[in-house]
Amino acid sequence: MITAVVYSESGGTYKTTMTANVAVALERMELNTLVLDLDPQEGNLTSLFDAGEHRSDPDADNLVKHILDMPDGEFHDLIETTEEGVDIIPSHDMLGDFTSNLEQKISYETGMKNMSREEYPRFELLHELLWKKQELHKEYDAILIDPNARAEDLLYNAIFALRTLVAPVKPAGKGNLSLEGLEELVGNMENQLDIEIGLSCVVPSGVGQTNAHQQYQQQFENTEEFATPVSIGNRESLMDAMWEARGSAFKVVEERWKTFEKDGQMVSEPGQRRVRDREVETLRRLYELAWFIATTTFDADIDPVLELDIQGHTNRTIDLKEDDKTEATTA
Amino acid sequence: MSNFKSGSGNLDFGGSDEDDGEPEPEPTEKTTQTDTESNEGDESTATEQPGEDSRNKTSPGTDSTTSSQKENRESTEESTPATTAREQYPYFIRRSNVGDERDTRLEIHVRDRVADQEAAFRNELAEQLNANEVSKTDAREFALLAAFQHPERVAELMAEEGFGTL
Repeated sequence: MITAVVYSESGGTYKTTMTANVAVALERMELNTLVLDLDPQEGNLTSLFDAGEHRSDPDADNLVKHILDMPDGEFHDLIETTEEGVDIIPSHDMLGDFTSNLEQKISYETGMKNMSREEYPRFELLHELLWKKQELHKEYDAILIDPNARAEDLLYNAIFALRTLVAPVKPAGKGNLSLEGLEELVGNMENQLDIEIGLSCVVPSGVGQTNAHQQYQQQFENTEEFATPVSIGNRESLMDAMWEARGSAFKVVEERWKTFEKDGQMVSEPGQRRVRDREVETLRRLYELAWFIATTTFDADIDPVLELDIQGHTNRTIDLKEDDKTEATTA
Repeated sequence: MSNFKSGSGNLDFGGSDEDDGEPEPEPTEKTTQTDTESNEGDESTATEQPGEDSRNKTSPGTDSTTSSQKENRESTEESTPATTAREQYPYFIRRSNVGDERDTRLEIHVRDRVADQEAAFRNELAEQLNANEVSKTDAREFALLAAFQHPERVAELMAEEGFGTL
């Protein structure tokens, strides 16, 4: 069972695009994959995957109601299947009020049960829902969470439930290995809750060609504190197109989505994008990242062959086992 | 220095059927813990007949992970030249949290009926130590130590369950 929270200290979009890309890569490895979108903001995983039709309807049943054990329907009715096969439990506006709703529940229940507020297992609710009540480990091979950015109840619930983190990091100007906030958070959680949190890997993302970026990337790759199986170049155009294609970077390249000006208007259409080697290389790295998480971190048994069915082009096959050694710098 | 374990964390799915690993020495103890005076706390589980596989018993924090299997990074040197602090103060005095000095991660796969006895065991320990609670990590490490000191008891339990009869 693969479980990972894609956590990014600085927020930003890498977390969401990376969650989508890793999820689709895992699905392409024939792992039945579910993503949970806990981010209530606009521009989240739910909108990327074109899911969550009722996310703004306060009366609609949603994940928060289930986490708080006050469901308005079947849990499995929350799950939608995206075009690329990944299942998603979409975001809902109610996620933004999670803490206040939780507080109410705690007040009520601690009052009823004569327990103190401190005793209430406020970070364990999602764990309870996913594994105890729904037994999703029997249904899925992989579950990823795109958490909300702020360090509060929802994020803690996500980490408590999945226990393993994948951390995209942006090249920062100073080039310090800033995972300090994450370290502190993890340390506190481990002590308080008597759990062990694993860091699958750190993924430098949006690495440009500037010296500062390159140097920063080097620093990450040279550290022994955590694994950095791949870094992802600065692929703004590719990642931006994901929002138009409503899917992964794999989909963008395969369907050749492009945004361009037509008759004085910006439009996005498939079948227009040029096939660029550096973008194909990025897909390879994303696939490799998913492979690393699945095999090195979680011991899954996977044949890492990526088939790209690019519209109007011959298919490309990338076998990670074969080209283990061919390849070097940021393409 | 790092709080992170490289690799996966300890996740457990509430004693699912996935973790019925190899036969391992298990403390099917009938010794003292039978008197589960589990006071208020958690489920007064499992004395000796823990209903075979009462699944959801284990609390969310337990380990014996199913999915993660690797990287017990660096085995420690508990026995190497002890720093002065180590000599001066016993472990529970000098540590500031439960993870201190515990650099080796051991993973065990146990049968449900063994896992189910853990809560009672910890309650009993806490009772004996006059504490509110004994953390799982502490209880386990010292249970292991106790076993190391009494291999004959361990052997006995294994023999009872048919070890070596074939």
